[in-house]
Amino acid sequence: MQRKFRNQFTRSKTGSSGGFFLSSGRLRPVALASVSLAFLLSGSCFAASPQNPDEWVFASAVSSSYGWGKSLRGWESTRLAIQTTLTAWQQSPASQPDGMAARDPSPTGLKQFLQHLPGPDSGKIEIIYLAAKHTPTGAWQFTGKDSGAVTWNELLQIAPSSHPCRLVILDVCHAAAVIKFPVWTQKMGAAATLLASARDEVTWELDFTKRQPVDLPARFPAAAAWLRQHLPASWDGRLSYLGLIWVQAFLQSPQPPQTLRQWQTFFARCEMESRKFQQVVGHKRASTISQFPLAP
Amino acid sequence: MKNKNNRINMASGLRILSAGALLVGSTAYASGWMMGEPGDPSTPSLIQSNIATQRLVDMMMKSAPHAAAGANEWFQTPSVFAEYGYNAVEDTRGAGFDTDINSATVGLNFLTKCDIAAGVMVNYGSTNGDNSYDGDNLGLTLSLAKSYDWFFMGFSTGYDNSDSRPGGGLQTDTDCYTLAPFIGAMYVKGNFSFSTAPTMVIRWQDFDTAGVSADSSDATFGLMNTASYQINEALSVSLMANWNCVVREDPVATTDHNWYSVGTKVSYRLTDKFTTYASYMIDLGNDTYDNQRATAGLSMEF
Repeated sequence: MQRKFRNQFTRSKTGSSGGFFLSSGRLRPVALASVSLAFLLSGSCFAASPQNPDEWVFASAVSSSYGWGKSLRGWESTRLAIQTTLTAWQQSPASQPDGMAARDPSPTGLKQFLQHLPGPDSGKIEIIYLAAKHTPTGAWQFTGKDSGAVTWNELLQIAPSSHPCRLVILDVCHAAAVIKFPVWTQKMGAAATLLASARDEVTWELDFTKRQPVDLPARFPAAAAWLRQHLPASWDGRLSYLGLIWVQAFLQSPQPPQTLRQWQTFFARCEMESRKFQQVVGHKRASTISQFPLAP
Repeated sequence: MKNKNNRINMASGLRILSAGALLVGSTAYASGWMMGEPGDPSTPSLIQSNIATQRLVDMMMKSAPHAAAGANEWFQTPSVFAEYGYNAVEDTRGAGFDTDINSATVGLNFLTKCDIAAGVMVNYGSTNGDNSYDGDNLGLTLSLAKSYDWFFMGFSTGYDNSDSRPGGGLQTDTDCYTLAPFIGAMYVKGNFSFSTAPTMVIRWQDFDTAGVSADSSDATFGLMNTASYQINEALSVSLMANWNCVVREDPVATTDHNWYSVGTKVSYRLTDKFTTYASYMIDLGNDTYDNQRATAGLSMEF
């Protein structure tokens, strides 16, 4: 498998357009070289052709039901919260950016999810939310009978379709560990990635129904009110840390980001909100949110 | 470690050894050389088991999920604590005598693989009583617990060594081994939480004084109930109500076998890492002992 990966990577580096990937049981040609090329040109893609906010696609993969550990219910709520912010930005509920949603995928399921991400033909900005337990070595912890950790090298062995306007939100512990994987930049092909934690950090679930350790409704009344208004009545008050930071940044960004620069600015606002959380509230339950590559 | 076991109980009809001599007509716990009388609420092993259980339950109720996996799962969210405890014990039996116990406990709690809560505690106690009685003890307690949503189960196990000096040149060395399995349920709703934990504290004790040895064993069932409320980000209060019952003993003691303990605890978070707390408990319905316990402690979360 590793050799296969190397072969594919070699093709992409040499610019061969003869790379073929298995997708949905069919062989679908993908120009591997376009991944890195698209990455380099992604800025111009966003900037040259500002996307209509209605032209978004949102896809998510969340592993949350860990039998022996605590379930990541807050991350499911974050997925919904982010999707709802995109809908709110669109101001067009009829065209919700509802894309693919994988819940508790198996390793094979996640690979297929990544392989089937919409390509540039969709003409839409693609926002991918990924959440799971994640190891310091950069491996996705799966749930259920397939429980086990699989590294990004293996998950991205077959690259997703390249997309010059792909944004990834990686809401996992040790999120920055992915930076050390060349495959992340070479194959995921994200114009920008929002990372929920540093390489040596965990990222926590927050609970809006408790006053300890942080009285979130008192500290973040606007975010609490927005969440209660826009999430389903069945919402249990749990949210990942990145979810809160995202909503905080969203509430200060009435205009939807359209260009890559604007998205980088929005991600930078998330970084700033995270720093503010740590300064005002403390480091308890906080993690270092960052974007990759660094905004210019 | 509660050396109050040294209280003289003239009422029982068991054999007694003293300074190497076999005496008949007293309890085996009398004369200060057998310690850890069943039904004594200030027995160190009983207190340590309860502390270990309660700390694990608190940890499981307060632990928040995070998205980490892998090697760091073996040692998560560690916290250390140091606690001072004071017991004022009055033996209401005619020939009994009263004791004051000062104790210090330090411990470490953490979550490990599969969200299992673990703890280790070291306790030192010093007892002073009537008739120039004094004693001290040193103990180690280990504990593990695992929650499954609202249900949890676990155990604590400990070793305690104590010396008691009831006077007259006597000195008794006691080794106490404890196993305390427990199950329980917890309910958390917003700022309110409640837990109930049936616990069985099983003890084996070996006594040695002036070259004479003896042993004893007993089991005490406890039902520990705790209700807590978070007033704000820093302050929380708890109410505790426990029921205790000695269900097995060898040799038989003449103490009251049923009693209740009620009390309250106040916790105040000083900073992100440091929390201070104080508690007070009093025993009710115990015909043998009047026991009150006050504690004050400081914990630090990393």
